[in-house]
Amino acid sequence: MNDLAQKPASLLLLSGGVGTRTRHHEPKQFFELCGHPMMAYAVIAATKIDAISEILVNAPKEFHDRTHEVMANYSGGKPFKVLECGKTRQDSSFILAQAAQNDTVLLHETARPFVTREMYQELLDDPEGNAGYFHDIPFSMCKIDRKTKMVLKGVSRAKVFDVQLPQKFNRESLIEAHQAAIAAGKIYTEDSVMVTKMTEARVHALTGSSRNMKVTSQEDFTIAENLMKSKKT
Amino acid sequence: MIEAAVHPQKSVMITGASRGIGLETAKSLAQPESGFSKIVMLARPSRELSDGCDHVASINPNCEVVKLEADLSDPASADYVFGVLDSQKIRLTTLVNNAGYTRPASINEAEISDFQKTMQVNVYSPFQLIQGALRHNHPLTHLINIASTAGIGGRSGWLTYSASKAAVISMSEVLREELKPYGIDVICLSPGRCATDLRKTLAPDEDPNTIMQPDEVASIIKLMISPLGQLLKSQNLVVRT
Repeated sequence: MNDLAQKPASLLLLSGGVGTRTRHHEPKQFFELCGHPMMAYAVIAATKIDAISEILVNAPKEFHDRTHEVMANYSGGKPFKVLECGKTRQDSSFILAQAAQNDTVLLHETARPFVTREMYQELLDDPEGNAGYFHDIPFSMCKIDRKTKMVLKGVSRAKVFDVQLPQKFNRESLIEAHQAAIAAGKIYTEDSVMVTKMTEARVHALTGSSRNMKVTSQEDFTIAENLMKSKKT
Repeated sequence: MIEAAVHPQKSVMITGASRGIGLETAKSLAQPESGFSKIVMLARPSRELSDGCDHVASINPNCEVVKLEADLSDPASADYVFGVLDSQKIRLTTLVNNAGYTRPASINEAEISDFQKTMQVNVYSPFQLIQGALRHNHPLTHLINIASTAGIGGRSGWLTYSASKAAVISMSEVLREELKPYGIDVICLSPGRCATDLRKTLAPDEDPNTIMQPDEVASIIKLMISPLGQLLKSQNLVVRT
């Protein structure tokens, strides 16, 4: 383990969704997945990493108490804070980054319950200050004219990747990227490209996995539950 | 001579450790090949507990024995236990919920207060200790709940005990799933007739020499938490003569 891994890090958990596409009235981060609220999985994996000294999580205002309750029950005594959600994902990420106490931050989202201790650790051990998981796209893609509904051309899948979380950032670079994006009026849907585009910093691409799925729809929950119940792969 | 494979981070807490299966389990896990560097022996204060701790401590100089006096019929005990563990910086990797209580009586004679005590010792305490271990972030890898064949099929006259052990079996089934993300293996062992003091309460006229001995159950526990035990994962492992 190198020196970087010994430095304390903050886990930033994006958890602000309101779950309009899924099966319950509660936001999807609270949906039960094999007995636990989905958001618990990202927290359980973090409790096993000593270097993670705090966990910061977003919560919609009306679910602040419920989020606090889940964190108290699953954080294994690690300090945590429940913070407001921003208007966009980008705002939420900025709110978390500003509140973090450490120079190194791990950014994750509660909708990816397959995160493991090993993934957090691999990011912390990575010699680059900024790193994330990127997975090959195993299917064909193309561009379509939305107006005419006609196929325009193919997109080479050798050049594009699925951006997965968790990611690791140098907190200063992440905040600088947010400030620059706000100043330029740019909206990003994730932070690795934002940091790359808006600052001089580079983001190291680690190999992602198909198991690290994002659980959003009702079908995703069914798939995730079956995956969790299946033997280790 | 085989070199002692002591892993400094392996610590076990055994409840009901002053007698019977609990004491034998402590003796068994103190053997160098089990790799435990610390054994917390939890029971009510008694001469037997002190003697048992001394005996277990004499087995392996590389395995420290910690005596923890607590009465698990008191719901406040679990908090006390984790206070002691925290103060001594003990991080549990294995928990053996073995402590048991029974006072056999029919539906006509069983008192609700005694049923409550049975549930507290046999079900609620294990629940509180497991929950406490999670909340205090103990790096558990193995959880062993000692149930009983009396929990599989109810037996007349043993209402409270049978019901409590059925609860332990069901609870273990749930925990096996719920503790997966923690990487904790949950083992539920249901001994049949075993020559313990509790068995004497249940079957006073039985000759203890004719039935399974506590050290035999302890050997199974030792096996179940060894690498070989990984091959024996079971919903509810019944051991009986």
